[in-house]
Amino acid sequence: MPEVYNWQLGRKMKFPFQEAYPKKQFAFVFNLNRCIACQTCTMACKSTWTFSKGQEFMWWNNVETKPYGGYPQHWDIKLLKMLDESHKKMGRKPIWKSEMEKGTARPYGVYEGLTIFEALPGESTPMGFTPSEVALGYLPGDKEWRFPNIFEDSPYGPLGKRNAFVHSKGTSLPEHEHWFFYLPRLCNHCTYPACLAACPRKAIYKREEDGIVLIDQKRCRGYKKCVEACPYKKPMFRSATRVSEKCIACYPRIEGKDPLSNGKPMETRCMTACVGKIRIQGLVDIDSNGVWKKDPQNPIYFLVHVEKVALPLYPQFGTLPNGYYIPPRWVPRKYLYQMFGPGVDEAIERYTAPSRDLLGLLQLFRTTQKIIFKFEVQKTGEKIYETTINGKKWAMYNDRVIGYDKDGEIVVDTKVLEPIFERKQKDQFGYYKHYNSI
Amino acid sequence: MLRGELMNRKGILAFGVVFLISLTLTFLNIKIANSQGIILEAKYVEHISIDNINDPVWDEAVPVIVPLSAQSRITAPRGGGAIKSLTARALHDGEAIYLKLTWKDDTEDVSFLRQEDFRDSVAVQFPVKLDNGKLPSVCMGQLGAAGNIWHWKADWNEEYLNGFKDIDNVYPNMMVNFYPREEEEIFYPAKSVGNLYSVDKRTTPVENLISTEYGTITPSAEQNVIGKGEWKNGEWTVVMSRSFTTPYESDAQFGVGKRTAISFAAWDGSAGERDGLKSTSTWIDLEISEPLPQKSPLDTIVVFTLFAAIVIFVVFIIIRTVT
Repeated sequence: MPEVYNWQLGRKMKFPFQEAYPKKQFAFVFNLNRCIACQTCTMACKSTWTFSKGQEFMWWNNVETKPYGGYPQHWDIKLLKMLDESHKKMGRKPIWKSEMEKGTARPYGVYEGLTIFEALPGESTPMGFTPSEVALGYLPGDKEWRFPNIFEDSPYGPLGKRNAFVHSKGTSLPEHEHWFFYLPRLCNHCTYPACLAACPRKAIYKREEDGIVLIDQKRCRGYKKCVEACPYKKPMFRSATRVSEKCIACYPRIEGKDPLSNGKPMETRCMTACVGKIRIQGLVDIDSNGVWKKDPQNPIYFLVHVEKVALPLYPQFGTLPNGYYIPPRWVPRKYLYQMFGPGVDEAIERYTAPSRDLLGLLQLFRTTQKIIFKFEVQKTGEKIYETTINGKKWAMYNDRVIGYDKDGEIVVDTKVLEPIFERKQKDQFGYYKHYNSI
Repeated sequence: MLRGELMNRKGILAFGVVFLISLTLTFLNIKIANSQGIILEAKYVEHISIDNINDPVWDEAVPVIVPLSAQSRITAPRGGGAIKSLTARALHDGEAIYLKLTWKDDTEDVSFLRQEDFRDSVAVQFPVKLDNGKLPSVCMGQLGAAGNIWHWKADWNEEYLNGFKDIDNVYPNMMVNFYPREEEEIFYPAKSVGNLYSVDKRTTPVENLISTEYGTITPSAEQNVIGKGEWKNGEWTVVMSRSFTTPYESDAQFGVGKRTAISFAAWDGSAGERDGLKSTSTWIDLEISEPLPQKSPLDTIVVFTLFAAIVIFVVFIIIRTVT
């Protein structure tokens, strides 16, 4: 099996195909500190792509409550357990060596454990180990796809007592004793997609222009191998057409073909519908060796590689997912290390006391439907607030933040402080405002 | 009684039993395909139709037992092997070839609709072209020497006989308010691009395919193989047929008096078998015989009498030896 370089793991790993990279890569950052699980993203996707027969259970975008929730049920726990058993069987440990490097080639150190392409099922023969599959995985049944929001708002923590508060003194950062958080998910359009690797038909392909992973609806024969192999369980089998379908990253919008976009690349439906302003999506330039080209003014690059506040979801699976998450600050770190790798502490620290650039960029989340290819924070704003965070002084400045589209035209021009408008007691039409009116 | 004498009697008894079995197999014309040089012979019959799977005309065919084993080429995915063997029969009517395959399977898997469902199916492969006089790779052909594959599927068979099935056949109490723009095919993308799996009116349960290596299997331009299957008492019986010649390069071509090769594969849906997870055979010779001159009924009487005489003689010796 060929070896490919996985920069999220800081090492080469086994993958059924040779290295081949797109010129640009579809990628996104979700700020989990702000998600309220309103499911507007979920419905935006559903009402655009999956409202037909055979797609009833399909939620290409979903939001689940962690740690108990999952769609399909327990998708991550099940695979983590399988991966754990493989480690035990092969006498390996899923540890990270902290050999970070500056730049984009090894930001999180070196993962010494096994990926899903290395912890394979199979048998030992006199000629050596013969794997029976290309990736470690399982096929969820119909029952596991039911109740897409099961365990909504269910926290982890000590059992309560009737008529009594569990926390007489409340609970506080850095780790809450009772905790849950919302995890919005869609296809990660992985750099090393397990779905693509597992398809015996080679019906799945990754586009050169934007790295979007698609299932060829004509070649697919419904073997469900992609469903079995994808660690994130995002390809889904559709009974009405007897083939599998998956998130298409709203590619007509990425191509600028949405009538609204005047030919400019636009973010996907799930991104632009985000009420909580937790999402930003873009395209990053990929070098010929697979790592990201230096582009600190690209919002996604800045969040992932400069500030390092956004981290990949389960990087140890080895597919090099292109969805990144700003981890929730109140969650026990051990859980977050398992989910986002070793970059968690640094990410939370930097997010808690953001730099002027980061704070500026966070204001651009969901200010435009167009993809922001370049952003700029003009550090000329006045100081508006001062405090101490983790024993260090921190100040907020009302800086100007500008976002540019593909052609360098300004699509957003805003400030850190949101402008406030107060409605008069009696408006121009002579109506009185209610006390509860907004 | 002396020990040697006892051994001798046992030996004669064993020989007699083996002799009788082999004689019966020879008389009934059953062959086992893993012995060298076994040929699947397609005999000529005047009239045959796929509509009646249990047509007595199939008694004319010489059954060949084909041993199957798990698909185990070096690269993954590999495995399968739930079905251990199948029985193949072949006939022709001077214009088309007919195949009848039977195999044991305790479960009838005719649905592919739930996430965890897989279908029972069976396939035959013929070489389209030889590679310097040699047969192409039995693993679904090779570049320059393709395999033509006829793949019968239990769910296609079910739909061919009883109409289109969807998820509401599995969950009759499911509730959906309405499907917006249901009549627009674009929202059924596989169907709108002509994927054979998404067809809602099946004209055949058999898919005609071309393959030039594993991973390359593609439906042929013309879906010209007909067939029918039936599951009864833990056994599948499937018949398939196609005219000897077609105008398509990707189809294997047959002719009276010609010899080619055939290989087999079978899948058990309940065991999760699909794609490379299957039971496969090696190549077996397939001969399409010239029509024989009419046999006189006297021939049959003579052969039967001779057979009966030999059986009586052997049984007589066994009885004498034992008593």
